[in-house]
Amino acid sequence: MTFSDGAFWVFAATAVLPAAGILLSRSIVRMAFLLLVSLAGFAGLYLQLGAGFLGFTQVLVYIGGILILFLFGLMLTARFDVHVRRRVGAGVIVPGVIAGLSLLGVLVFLALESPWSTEAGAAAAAAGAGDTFQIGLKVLGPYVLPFEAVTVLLLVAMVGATYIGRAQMPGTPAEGERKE
Amino acid sequence: MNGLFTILDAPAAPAIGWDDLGGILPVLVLLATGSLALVLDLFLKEEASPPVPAGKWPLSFVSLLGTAVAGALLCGHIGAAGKPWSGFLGAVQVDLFSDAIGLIVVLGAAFCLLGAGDALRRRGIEQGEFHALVLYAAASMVLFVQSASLVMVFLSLEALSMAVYILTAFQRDEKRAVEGGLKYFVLGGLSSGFLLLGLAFIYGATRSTNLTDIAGALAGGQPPADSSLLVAGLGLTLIGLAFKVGAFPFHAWVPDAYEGAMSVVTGFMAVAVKAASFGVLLRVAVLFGGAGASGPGSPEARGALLAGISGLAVVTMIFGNLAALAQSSAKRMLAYSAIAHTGYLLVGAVSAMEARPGGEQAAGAGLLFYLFPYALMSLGAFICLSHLGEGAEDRESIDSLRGLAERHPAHALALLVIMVSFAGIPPTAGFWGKLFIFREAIATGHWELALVGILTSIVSVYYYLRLVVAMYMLPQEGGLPAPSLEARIGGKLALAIAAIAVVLVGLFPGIFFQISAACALR
Repeated sequence: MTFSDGAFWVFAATAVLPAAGILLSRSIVRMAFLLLVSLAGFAGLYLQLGAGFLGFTQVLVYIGGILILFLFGLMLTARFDVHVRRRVGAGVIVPGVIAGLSLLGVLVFLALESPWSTEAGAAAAAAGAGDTFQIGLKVLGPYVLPFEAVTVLLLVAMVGATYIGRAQMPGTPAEGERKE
Repeated sequence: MNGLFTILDAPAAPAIGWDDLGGILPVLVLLATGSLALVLDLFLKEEASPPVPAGKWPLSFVSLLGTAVAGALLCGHIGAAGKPWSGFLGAVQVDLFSDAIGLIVVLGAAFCLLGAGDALRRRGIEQGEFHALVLYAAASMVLFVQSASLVMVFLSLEALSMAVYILTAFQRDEKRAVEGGLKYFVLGGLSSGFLLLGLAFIYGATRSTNLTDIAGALAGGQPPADSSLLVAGLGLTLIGLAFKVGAFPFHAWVPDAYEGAMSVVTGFMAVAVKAASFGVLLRVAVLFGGAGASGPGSPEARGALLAGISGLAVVTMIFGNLAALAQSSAKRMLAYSAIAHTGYLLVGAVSAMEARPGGEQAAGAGLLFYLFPYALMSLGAFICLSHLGEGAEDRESIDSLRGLAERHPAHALALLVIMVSFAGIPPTAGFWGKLFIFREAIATGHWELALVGILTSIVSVYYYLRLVVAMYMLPQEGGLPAPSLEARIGGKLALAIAAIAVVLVGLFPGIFFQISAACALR
């Protein structure tokens, strides 16, 4: 086993084991923390594949995002005691297991059968951190419209979040009054 | 640094210019109008006394003007029979098909905005955000149909879905609205996951994100590196799109989201989201599974897509119609009927896949023709429910429509026309739509789909006419007080236009079918 193989297994375990923990845990705080660890594992895998930009974006966006969720969503609302109730009956488990296993089967089949192209990945790995440069050119070239579509998506989400999240509307009872 | 200059100096690099912006002008107009509505709202005063008939009329005026301009641009492009145009270095492709679907989307947005003024004012939530979100959603939908790259498909779908999630929950003090919006959001997010994985697989199999390049490679007899990966990708993509069009068994969100949203928004969802999603579904289906287009490249993909879409069509037609039978709420009944109509449209998609390029049959002419009267009927019906409502309530149950013919004969007549057309009774627009779709299906050898469609259409007559019976034959029993409809000009206008257009399309189907055939995928 080379060092690279060893690193792969470490990253893979970091990605998968916490994900299993999320499913088994009941405390929402633990789930958030485990998600953080799992996403960090994925960041490691991306870096190992030579996708430096993707790996660091993963750290910034996802891990940073989860951290924000952690801080604002949980700590500021002071709801540490939130526990997820799971209603587990045979009616949920049996179809769930069947669906999960068949999806796993399809994915394993595809992973083993497909002749995955490795040229592009090898080229990217050889270029080292150069992929950020390439991505920059692409974003302002063929992907400029998708890039702008993202801005529309963010604008819509922002307008919606401020509207839905605004504390009170004119003409409706204030937040405090409604609760009592 | 050397690398930078060599790349920037390279003469072959194609540039993006004014032409590219001009090509997507309708989208830009819609986006700009949406932002204008958002800003305009800041300058409009909140009226102190609630029953102001006109309310914030500049909001409605500006946003309707925006849809009118966008619609006129699209119409102009159709009228000029413009050639397919590809812009932004292959990110979008504008052709007559995308124009036609875009026109239906813009029509949906315009009707929604026409009816929304009254509906929002009654609830005390006439905010510029509503108009902005409708226009942003419409812009994203037009962009969605114009997408020529997998990245654009995903991003514009996300943008339009996000806007529609928020519109569903727009009446945010209403528990049902928030519940419907949240369900739609969670299930929509799940379906986006399927779609994204599917698109990633398609990219993995074909090594390209550009649909035109993929089509070229497949048509050139270049078999994809791995068919099973392509089939899996197409299957997952189909699941993602089936969620969006509300096909059985991916329909779980439809009844709750349709019922929770304000009726005007429900009309917009039923028409615009469906039209845009069907546009992309048809493009993907014809590209990867069309009779001629895919050539020897991917017979497996064609087989899988045909089987998948046919199967979805059959179960969706059966489920939607049977479930609609059992409803006591008119709005929920229309939601299930929207599922049933998704089934008929899927039949149209199957026959579109059989059409040979350059042949006599244009791919998807029947589907396009069907979408137009379906849009008018759905918009008319949902706007009518909203128009007759009082306060925060729309007129939702079938019982509350009892005796409508006596109190508001004109409204009852309009709703009668729409229901008869929904049921597909000749010589209405709905009849011609079904006729063309089923005729195409039989002509392409899918008579079993046509048979299921005809049988389930017969079932549907029962629940549509139940509404008519309630309006014309049953006496009023308490229920909601009859609202004064004098001041509700927008809703009245929208309902009248919808009903008259349904009659016109029913009387002159030939003209509209020719336009649909001209706009079909080539």
